[in-house]
Amino acid sequence: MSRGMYYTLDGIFAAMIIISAVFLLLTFSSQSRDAMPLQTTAHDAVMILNTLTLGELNTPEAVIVRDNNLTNDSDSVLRTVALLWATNDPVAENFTRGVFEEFFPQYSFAVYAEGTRIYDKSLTAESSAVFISTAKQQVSGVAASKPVAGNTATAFLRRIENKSTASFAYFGGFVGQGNITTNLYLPSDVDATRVRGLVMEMDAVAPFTLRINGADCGYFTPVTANMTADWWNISSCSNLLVSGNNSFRLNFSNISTSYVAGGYIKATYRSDVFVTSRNTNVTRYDFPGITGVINLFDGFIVPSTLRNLSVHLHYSSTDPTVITYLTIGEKTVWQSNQTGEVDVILNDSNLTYAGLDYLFLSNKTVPIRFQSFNSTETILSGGNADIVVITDYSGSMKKDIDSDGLGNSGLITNCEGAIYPDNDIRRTHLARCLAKEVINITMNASMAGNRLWPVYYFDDRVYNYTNPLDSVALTAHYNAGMPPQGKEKTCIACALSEAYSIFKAYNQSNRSRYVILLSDGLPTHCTGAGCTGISSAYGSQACDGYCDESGACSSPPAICTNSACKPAMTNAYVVAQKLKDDFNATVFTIAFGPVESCTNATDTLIKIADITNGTYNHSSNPQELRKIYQNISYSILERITLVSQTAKVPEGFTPSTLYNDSYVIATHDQPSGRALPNEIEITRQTPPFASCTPTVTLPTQMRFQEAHIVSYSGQHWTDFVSVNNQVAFNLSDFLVYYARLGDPYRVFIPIQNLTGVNNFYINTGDNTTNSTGCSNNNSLIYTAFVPSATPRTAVLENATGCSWQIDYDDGGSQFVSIPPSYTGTNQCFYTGSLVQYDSTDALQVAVYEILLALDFDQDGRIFVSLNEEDLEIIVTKIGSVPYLWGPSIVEVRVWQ
Amino acid sequence: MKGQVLTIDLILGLLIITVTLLSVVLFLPVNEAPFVDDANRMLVLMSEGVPPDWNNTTVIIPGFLTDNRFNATKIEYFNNFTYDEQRALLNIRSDFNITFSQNNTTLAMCLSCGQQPLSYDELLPLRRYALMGSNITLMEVHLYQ
Repeated sequence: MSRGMYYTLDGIFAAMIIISAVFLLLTFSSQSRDAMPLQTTAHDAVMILNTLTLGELNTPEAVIVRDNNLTNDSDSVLRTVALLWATNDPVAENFTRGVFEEFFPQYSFAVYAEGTRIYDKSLTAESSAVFISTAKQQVSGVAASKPVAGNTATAFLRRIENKSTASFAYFGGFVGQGNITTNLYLPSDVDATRVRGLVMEMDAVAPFTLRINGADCGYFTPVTANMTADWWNISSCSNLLVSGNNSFRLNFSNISTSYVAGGYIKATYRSDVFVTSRNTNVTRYDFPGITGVINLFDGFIVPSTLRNLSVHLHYSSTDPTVITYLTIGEKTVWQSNQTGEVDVILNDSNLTYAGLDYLFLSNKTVPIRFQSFNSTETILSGGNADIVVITDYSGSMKKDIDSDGLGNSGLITNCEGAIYPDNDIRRTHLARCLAKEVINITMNASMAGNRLWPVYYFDDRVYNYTNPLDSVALTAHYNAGMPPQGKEKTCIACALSEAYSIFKAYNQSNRSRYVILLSDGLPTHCTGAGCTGISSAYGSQACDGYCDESGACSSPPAICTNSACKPAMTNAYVVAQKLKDDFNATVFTIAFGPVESCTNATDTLIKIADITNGTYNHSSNPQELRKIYQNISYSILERITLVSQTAKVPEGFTPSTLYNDSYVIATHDQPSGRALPNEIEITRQTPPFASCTPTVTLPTQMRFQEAHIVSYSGQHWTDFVSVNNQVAFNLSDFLVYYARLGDPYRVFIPIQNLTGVNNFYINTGDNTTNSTGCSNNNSLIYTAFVPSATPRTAVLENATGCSWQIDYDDGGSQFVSIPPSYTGTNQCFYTGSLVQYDSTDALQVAVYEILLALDFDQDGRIFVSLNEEDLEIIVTKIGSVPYLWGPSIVEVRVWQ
Repeated sequence: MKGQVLTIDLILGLLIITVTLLSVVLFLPVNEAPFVDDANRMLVLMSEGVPPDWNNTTVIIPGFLTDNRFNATKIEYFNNFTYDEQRALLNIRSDFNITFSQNNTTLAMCLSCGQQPLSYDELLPLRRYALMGSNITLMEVHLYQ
């Protein structure tokens, strides 16, 4: 073949390729244009089917579908197709045919759900179609072979009957002295017939008669024990109760023991009221009625931010020498010697002028103290201490304070400038300064009434100085009355015996007695009455002294550990015991200088302190010793108050009366716990704690409104309460000396600090450093809300109801058909032994959930009784409540 | 001889190119691409338009639907425009005509939507379905040149 021919054929071949390409392009372009109507038809079909509702459709199949209650008229045709498919309804195919053949007669089409063909009309086979147009739509809440609609139900109590709850009347930390009246309030729907129980728990020390609303309820004899409450069931007197206020009066026979140191009267009753109506912005404290001597220690609760305070005092006094006063917190807000009937209202300006800080009082339990004694009794809260300060002036006291070297001689009286800064100061000089510390603290102007006697043992004799009320003279005596150098032996028993003689000589029944014993050595002598008797004169020498009079030690190592001094030691214990037994005296002992290395010496001082409930301290440092003396002095002042909650009333006392229409009203911000719609209020009390650190488990499905600890403190003060390591009450926030503070029986617990498991700590004391434990009768009383309605159940398949067996907290059991119209054979149980219901039945689930809410202790027993008409189960069977499964894809294909 | 071959080859090459170009010119439709673009622009009528509640004074883009159904009021608004205004609103250069029918029966509405073609070189039919009330309604659009 020639080259020219080759090129010619090549050119022809290229031209054919170009022409073919052009024709193909033209062909497809034409086809695409011809297909344009079909492309949109599938989309239009889906849009129409998704817009057209079943109610608008009039095909015969649509009528059938409407009659089956599966769908609503408002459902789209597309959704209806999906629902019919999901429920395997055989009408699905015909329904779909009716729709498509009417509206799209000229096309072949098919309808699919999740890839399953529901119906198709093929004018031409889909597999041979030139053009296929498809459109898809999601349909939610349907899935193959799943129900498409369920039931949901809610239940609520239309009313309750016989709700078990309680009302309390409280006695304060110390309510006395005389006959006491308090009020117990019962709601308007509660009378004697609805009271299930009436109990009385209190810490009283003397028998009393109880009158309820003026009628006799019996004679009660408490078992006397400190911080221990007696409990009486007085339900036999419940017939004396009425709706509203009920007066409870305790009549005692002996004014000195006529008091209650904490307690309550509790009426348990049945009520039909969901929530007690009250103004939750106001907290009211009602004073008890007291006829005798007004001596009240209590507290009131401010549960949120305090805005206003109002006090109404109504009392009578007969003696113009009596100062009647009221303290709120540490502030004295009322003080008067007015006699006759006094009726006074203190408003905000009065109270803030008196120094009350409302912000400080907010969210607290506020101690309150009201007192009206005659003048001979007020000394109890001032100074009633008789104090003997024993100073060792034996030979060893001439040595310096921290060694056995001789201390500086000469009379030095400048305590601040010369004695306290000198760590080598002679012991006698330092002892003089320490004694003056006691005078300064215990005999200041506000503590008038305290008496003090210096006592020494020196040169084998015992001395005292008698001018007990004159602090100036006593100070002068210490400055000049004794020589600078100690001398001779140590007779601790003799010095204690001298204190005994002083207490005996100046004996008064309402005195508190204390001995401060300072010694630098072990006892060497017995008293003149021998080693088992008491006498201020020296008896026979029992052992050698720690140091002789010249200052040279004899043989201390031996006598500090052997038995040579035992008789003198025993003699000291005998006298200490007599001081305790006969005068309830307390001995504070101080080991002076390096005496701590002498076992017998320290043992003696420790045991004397133990015998008399005192304290033992030792030091060789002047500043430390000064601090020890100051602490002892303050402790004496605080211990004076140990007896001050009880007024020791002499014969011929002048009576005073507190009327129980007196009150404190605190207006405050809305506390966080208040009733909401569909809640039931209940009040509950835990069992006694039997521990100062109880763990209390509370129901978690409750919503707490208020809570408080009740604490028995006896003669002491409830001074600290914490919950879950959060401080709920600290009495020392108000004042470190408790004598003028109230003693709350109820202590506010912030509800936000409560959880399911709660750890409490409760303490009583007489001052910040002294703890007196707690009562085993303490408990927690709380008011909470329980829901009376349940949220809607989940969407469930059934709603048929059931015949329930339900157990109650009071031991009863009942069969109830819920809803009342139910007559089927389903059996359901909510009992202590069995909880059983059908979890696919919305009605049964709703009933179970409300029973669970009413069973807050989850023991299978609810706390209200139900009648069929009381527990109204409102069932909202919303048809076609969609399930959440799906979505499913419905697809329409159209082809030619 | 070599010069003679080259002459014949040149003549054949020119002939092939001429035939190819003539084929393209004869078989390609006139202005095909703008025609298809106009068809796509007509689809805007299957929307609510802008603004959704447009009328003759507020219209920006005309659309015949409200809640996925033909809105007779909107159709009437469109019918009130002149043919040139309609083409301008639709932003098309081709001629068009719109008819509505239900169950193969033409509805007496939108009679001035576009204009009937007296003659044309190219005709592109578009068919869209939607509800008018509760009736399936066919909107047929004919684009032509």
